[in-house]
Amino acid sequence: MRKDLLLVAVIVLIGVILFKGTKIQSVEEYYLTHIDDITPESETIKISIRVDAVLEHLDKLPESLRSEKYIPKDGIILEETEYVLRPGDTVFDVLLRATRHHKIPFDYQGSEENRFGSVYIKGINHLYEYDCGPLSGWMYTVNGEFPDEGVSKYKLEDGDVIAIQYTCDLGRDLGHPYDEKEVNP
Amino acid sequence: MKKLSSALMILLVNLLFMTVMTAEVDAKEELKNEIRDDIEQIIDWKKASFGLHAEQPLLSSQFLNHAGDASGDWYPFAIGRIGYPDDYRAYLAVVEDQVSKRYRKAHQLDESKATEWHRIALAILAVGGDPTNVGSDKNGEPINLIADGTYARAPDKPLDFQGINGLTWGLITLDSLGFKIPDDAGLTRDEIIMDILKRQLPDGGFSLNGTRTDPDITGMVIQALAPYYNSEKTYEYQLSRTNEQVAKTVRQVIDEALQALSNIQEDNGTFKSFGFENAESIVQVIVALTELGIDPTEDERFIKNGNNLIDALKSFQMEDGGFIHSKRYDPENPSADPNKSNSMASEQALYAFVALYRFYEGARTLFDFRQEMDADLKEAIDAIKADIDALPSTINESHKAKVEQLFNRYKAIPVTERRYVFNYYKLADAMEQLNIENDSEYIADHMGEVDRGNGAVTPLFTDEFHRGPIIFTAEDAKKVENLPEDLTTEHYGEVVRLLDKLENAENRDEYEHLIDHLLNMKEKIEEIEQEIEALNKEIMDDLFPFEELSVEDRDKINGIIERYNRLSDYDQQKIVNYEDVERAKAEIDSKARKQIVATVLGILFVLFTIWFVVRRRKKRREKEMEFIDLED
Repeated sequence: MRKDLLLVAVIVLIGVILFKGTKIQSVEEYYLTHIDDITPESETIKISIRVDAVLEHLDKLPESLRSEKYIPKDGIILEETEYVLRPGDTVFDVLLRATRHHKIPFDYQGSEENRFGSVYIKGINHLYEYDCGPLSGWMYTVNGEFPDEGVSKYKLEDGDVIAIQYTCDLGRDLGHPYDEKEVNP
Repeated sequence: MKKLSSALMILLVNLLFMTVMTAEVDAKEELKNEIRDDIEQIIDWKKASFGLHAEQPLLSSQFLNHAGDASGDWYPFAIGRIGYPDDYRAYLAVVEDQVSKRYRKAHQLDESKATEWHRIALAILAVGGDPTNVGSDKNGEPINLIADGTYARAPDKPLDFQGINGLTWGLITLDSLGFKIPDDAGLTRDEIIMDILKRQLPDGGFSLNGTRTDPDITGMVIQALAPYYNSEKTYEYQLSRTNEQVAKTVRQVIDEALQALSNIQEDNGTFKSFGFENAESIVQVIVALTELGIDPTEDERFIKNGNNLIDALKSFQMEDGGFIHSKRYDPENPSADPNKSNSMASEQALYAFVALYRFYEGARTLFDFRQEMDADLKEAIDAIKADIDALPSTINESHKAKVEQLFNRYKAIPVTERRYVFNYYKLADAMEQLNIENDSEYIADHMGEVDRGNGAVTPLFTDEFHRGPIIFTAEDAKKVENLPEDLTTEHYGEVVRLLDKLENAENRDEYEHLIDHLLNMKEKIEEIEQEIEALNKEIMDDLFPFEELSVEDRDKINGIIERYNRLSDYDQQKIVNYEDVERAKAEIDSKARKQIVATVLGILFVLFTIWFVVRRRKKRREKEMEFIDLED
């Protein structure tokens, strides 16, 4: 009788394991596969990629780009997505992660290849600098502010909200007080 | 006695005059020596930043791997224009190879930025190459950077696609050697000039998009327009900011732009761009002045409180010889740490000093790459300049013959050399006052002189500079032998350099056997480059999103890992976010393991259940038997 009970217990246990699908992983594997899992304790940031400013200037774009595939009607390339903030993450690290995970083409110039010593965003989702006129290109804000650093230099903090945005007017169409700065530094 | 005393007087006056003259000459010599030192210091700083000794050429080892990119090209440009002894051949070999490789790929150079072509073309000229005949494209045809970078651009990526910089640098590039624009190109120099002119701001200067003069952009515009300063052509155009219709000569516009620059110069001699005093703005103004033949240490418009532009520029130099961008933290340019020399500020300071050195040497201007003038022409120009300066400040009819004669002498100078009569405007003004018809040819009509041509390193820095026959030395051979068996892309520049040297060496026969060896190495490195590119692409295509990876992807991922492991440590760094591959592997391994465990558990589950059922049945049967037994 006792043996029966034991047998039932073993069967139930196996059943539960099967049903719950518990993974058997090494610590390293666990770390790798769960690195971007958001838990109540994890520090996070949010990132979005938008091209709203282009919507009003579709006529300026090269013919080949005037398609929903590149310029979605709602202006959203990547809607606001939450990511785990890893230690030392810069805006570039998170942007790279987000574009890779979502298979969004992202072309950039490494900090070694230019004279600014920071990564330079050339194109996202096939939309490149200058595609919307001589003053167009990619800019970014963190918590609504236009930071004073290159993407690979800006270190993020818990709760930061990053918006990667395309401008057709050196940021003025994104609310960047460009001219004021020039006049009244 | 009277005669004697007057003769003595003349002698005395002459002596006095000569002393003043000598003092002036001495001051200029001293300034030149200082500039030389500054040039050397910047080069040494740059060498040190690449781990090179002062005796090693800058254009070597790791630096060569930057040939053709924005961080590399301005240094060979600058040092070639003064003839600093260096390995120009090496740079030319690598940049030609790089451009060829990029042309064989779909995107060539950065299509939207015409200035990429301009930068590389100017660097190639400065080291003695021909930018109309660079390497070969995918059809094996020589690449013409001048055409592709200016008048033969893709219709949807015109010269001004990136804004005013495309126009100014395009014009500078076309005029570098006086390249012709074909008649059917659909673009003329006049159109480029006018396109620049119409962007002038109401305050006289130019900017990227702001409403006020930006010193850098204004400086570059002046540099581009400088060859046309003496042209009498009046351009009629509509200003793009105000829609105002105007008619102006280039000279009028440049004079207004100079005044605008003078107006915004700070009391310490510096300029602010985007709100910050910085080294590069001063550089662009210095170069602009030298292109016009204006001495920055003498022109009152650019000396503020006794501070001239050279003083101002030097205030940005650091102990290590390099230059900083800005003395205080600049939010617009964060890489410019106020305490750390910066590559862009240093390279620009370097070419400002080179421009100044060329100016004080009486050489052609920084962006005029034509062969240096012969002595006769130089003498003729100097004589005209002296005679123009000698014209009285108030002109009247009595000077008419003199002015006419001067104008005829001016017209005897070839049209494209007339820009070097830097004070011609005084003559033109005098002619206007005297109602003498000015029928000098429009310069833009004559600027296109050549279809192709090599630039040359200008041997100003040292007399030892010579271009003897190329000898592949035993030391070079040793360098080939010392290249590691397991090549990496790190050795790219060095292999291309050695191969080029050997292929063109006078004693090529002696080391003929090394050519195949080097060619193999080059091929191997190219294979590695392609492998890195392929791996990066495959990773992007195959890995994401992680959730959709399945056990079937296992071979693919393992294949990627195997190929990654075959790369050297150096090249592994070029795989973007390799961590993603490790993660994909872990995902798949976990999934596979889960499947095995599930299968095993499933089997166990069934077995145990069967066992349990069998046991229960057996027991029940036993009990029934007992029951029957009992009943019996």
